Amino acid sequence: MPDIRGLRRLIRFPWRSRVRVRRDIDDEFQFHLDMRIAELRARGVPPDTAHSEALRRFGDMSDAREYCRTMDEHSIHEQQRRDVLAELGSDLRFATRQMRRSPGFTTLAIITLALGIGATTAIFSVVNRLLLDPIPYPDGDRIVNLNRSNLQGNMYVTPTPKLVEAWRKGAHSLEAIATFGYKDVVVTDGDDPEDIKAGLLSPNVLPLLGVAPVLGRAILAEDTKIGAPKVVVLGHGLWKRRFGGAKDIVGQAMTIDGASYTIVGVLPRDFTVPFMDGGMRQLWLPLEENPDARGAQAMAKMRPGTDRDRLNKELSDVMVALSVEHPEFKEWKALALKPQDYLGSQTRDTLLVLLGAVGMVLLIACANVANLLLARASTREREFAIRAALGAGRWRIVRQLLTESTLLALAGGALGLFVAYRSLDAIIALRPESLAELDEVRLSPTVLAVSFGLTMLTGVLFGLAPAMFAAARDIGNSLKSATRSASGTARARRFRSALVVGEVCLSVMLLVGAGLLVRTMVKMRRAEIGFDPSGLISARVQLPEQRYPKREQRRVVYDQLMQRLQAIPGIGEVTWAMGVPPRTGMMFGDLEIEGTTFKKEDRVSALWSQFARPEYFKLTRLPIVAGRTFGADTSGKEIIINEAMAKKYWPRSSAVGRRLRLDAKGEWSTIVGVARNVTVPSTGRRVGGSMDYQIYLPFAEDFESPTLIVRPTGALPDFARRLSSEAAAIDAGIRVRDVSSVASQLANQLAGPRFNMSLLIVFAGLALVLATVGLYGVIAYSVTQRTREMGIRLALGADRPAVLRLVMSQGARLTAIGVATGLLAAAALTRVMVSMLYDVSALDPMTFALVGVVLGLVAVLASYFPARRATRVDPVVALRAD
Amino acid sequence: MARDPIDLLHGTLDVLVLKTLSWGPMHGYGISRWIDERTRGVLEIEDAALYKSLHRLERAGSIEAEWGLSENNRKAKFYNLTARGRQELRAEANTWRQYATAIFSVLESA
Repeated sequence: MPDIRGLRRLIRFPWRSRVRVRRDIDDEFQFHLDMRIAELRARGVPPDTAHSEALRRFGDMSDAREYCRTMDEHSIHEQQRRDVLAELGSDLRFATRQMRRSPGFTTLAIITLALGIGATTAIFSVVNRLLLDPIPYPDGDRIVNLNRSNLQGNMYVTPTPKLVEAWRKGAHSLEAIATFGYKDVVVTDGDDPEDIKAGLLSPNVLPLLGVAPVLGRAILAEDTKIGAPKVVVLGHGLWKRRFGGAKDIVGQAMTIDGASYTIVGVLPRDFTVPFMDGGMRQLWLPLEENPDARGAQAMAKMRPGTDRDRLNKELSDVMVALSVEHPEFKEWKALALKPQDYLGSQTRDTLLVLLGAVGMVLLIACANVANLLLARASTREREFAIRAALGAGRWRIVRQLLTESTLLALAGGALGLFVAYRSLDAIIALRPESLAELDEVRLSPTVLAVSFGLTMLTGVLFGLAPAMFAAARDIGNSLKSATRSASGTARARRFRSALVVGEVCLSVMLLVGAGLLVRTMVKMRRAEIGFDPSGLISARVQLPEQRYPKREQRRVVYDQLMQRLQAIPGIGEVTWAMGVPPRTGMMFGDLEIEGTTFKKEDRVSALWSQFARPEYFKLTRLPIVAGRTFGADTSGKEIIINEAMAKKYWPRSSAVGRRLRLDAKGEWSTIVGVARNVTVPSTGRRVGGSMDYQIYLPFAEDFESPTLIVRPTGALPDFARRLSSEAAAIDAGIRVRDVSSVASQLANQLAGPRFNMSLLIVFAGLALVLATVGLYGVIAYSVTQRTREMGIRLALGADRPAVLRLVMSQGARLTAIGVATGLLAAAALTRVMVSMLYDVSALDPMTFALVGVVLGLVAVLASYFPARRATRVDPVVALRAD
Repeated sequence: MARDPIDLLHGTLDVLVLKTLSWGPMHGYGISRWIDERTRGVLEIEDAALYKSLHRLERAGSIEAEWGLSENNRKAKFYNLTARGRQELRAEANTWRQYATAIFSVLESA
């Protein structure tokens, strides 16, 4: 009976089956009865009597059997649970011991994973905030923005208050509806006046969002009545900044646009209104209840279980009913939009590209750690063999290895959270102005949960392969061949090479992506913009509402301000325009050219437009290449077009003197000059086409908020203040805002591409480093494994360069495959980046070539050092080793 | 076997089993014989109750079981006191001693 199995069974009854339990109890009872009968017989009791006496003494046997069975099954379950926990405990203890034993490996693996998991978590939190869960309020997925759109659905505008009222009453799918808007205001308390975009809220915005003020009260219905006492609710940031977070702020007064407002409340930190520019969070005013007002937006919360199609249908039906009485609603339908709809395909593409990129980095990190584990697993072969010989099953060893990899992943994930936290700060600091929502990105519970899932997944992902290989190993062989067997099975070796090829391939793709963005950035910086922005300063000047209704009145003010400014020493040239590139306008209409009939597909309905005074061209150094600038006539009869347009419509003759109009019923304008093209580089735009056609019309004082452009000859200290005081001297109600250099505004255009580029460069750089480490690891490892072989080769007379070539060719082969597949995959994938590029083809040959070369060089370096070590093998030592 | 068996107080059997096993590993039948001898047959313990007690104690971790060979070379299930069982026995024995002393002092004083 002393065989090992029996011994084990005698030590314990591990995990008996139900059948076993029953049989054991029967055996036990039978033994008892037999003993009792034998004893009675020994005392001389006859067999029959002995048998019945034994049964009598036993009592209720079936009850006892049942009871014992229940007890035993319970103990077995408890034992099982204890055993599993104990094994897990010992696995964990063993795993931590293993990690402590090789601190270098552990540190490298944890840092690699932390970078991968951290970067992925950070980007995922951004994607989550912008794409997946854009309204961070309870039931945010039921909140929509309501618009009315034309029947074709290609144009939409905000609803009128009357329509909102009709929707509120008529649509059952709506749980709540609220309106909001914004207004530029100036806060003039204290010494420094501050321009603020204030949010305007109807009283039901906060209840709809489920937000309560942190201090005081929200905006109430009575606040929105015309002529109600002026009240204001502060945003958290402004309250902290301007009022030091004073708790007794409610009831105090502040001056907004020259009027006194009572502060009635403070809103929570991070409060923003969905569908509103994220930068608007400082000041909240009541949205006046004015049935004739336009421009306020509407948002609604749908009832649970309603979808947008049903809501749109219902709201449109309300409009049809309304149009009986109000024909102005006839040609319209309702359009409910979600925040994602506003994001624009460019931002969406960018986010998905970044998420994909960071996912690749994570994959590379996993491949790297898997490679490290594989290398280590082969040095631990003897350990596994001994454990297997001592009775550990395959599954037990696999589980041990998975425990180790999961532990590594968890450590990496924990450090990764820190990485994610810091990267988010960096991302927010880098973000372009257009992505103000990024400021609210947090490591939310959703993000943390996803990150945890990701961590566990990576643990299995990089741990599984080494575990499988360890399990598949032949125990006997490992034990016998001791240290020398460690060359690893051919399969494991091939797998490791495949991992490195994969890493190189992914890095190539990331590098190509980053390269394309770098090229975009360079092209944008170098773009010929057509005029000379250096030194130009622009400012928007806004006349008080309705104080200067007539053009002549406005002209007086504008002329006066110009004269006053010209008295400032060093002011140089001054002019008025509608805007200044990059901020100019679009003009809509059906372009008609005298004497030409367009084919339908050649129709142009929108043009880049600018309204300028005659000196605009000289001041901005925008050359007039043919004809002249505007004369004194500002009636719009004169027009200047750009070269692109002139070349398109009058390719062989001069455009000067020709006539065109944008309104079929309007008067013809005569082209008096042709200006050089103005190009403001922006990504995702097709170069060429009608959007490049530009027209200039005489500045005719049509605007209440034109732009002042100055090209100073000298230093203009304190220009903003000076400008404000000159304006105030004419009318205290004139507001001056956005005083800034044109060059900086143009540079702002690069913020988005720079953001994309920076992130992708970081990812690609990480990928390159990880892939290099991976490649180095594989080559270095194989050199160690082939020490004997090298020794033999050298002993047989191979020269050192030959050995060097041998090792390096291995690295070169892996790299070549990786680079080739990577470039092919990149060629297939860079299409998704088109909207992030400017004037660079997604298949830019230079980028592709350069990436190939860079990776080649890196690969040479990564395999050179291990190769050199191979040439230094001392044949005698190598052959004697073992 | 004409005696008046005393009904066992609830829980008494467990402590008797533990005490018996403190002498060394024993199978169920052996335990039954041992108690019989010690109590001179005063306590007639039903075998069914004894086995219930054994499996109950095994589940509680006070005793553990293993199959072995009996004196007459048959396969038998042997029970052995665990460290926890030993502790329990000490505690139970104390309680019993106090209980018995209390009862006695009442009975004697009468």
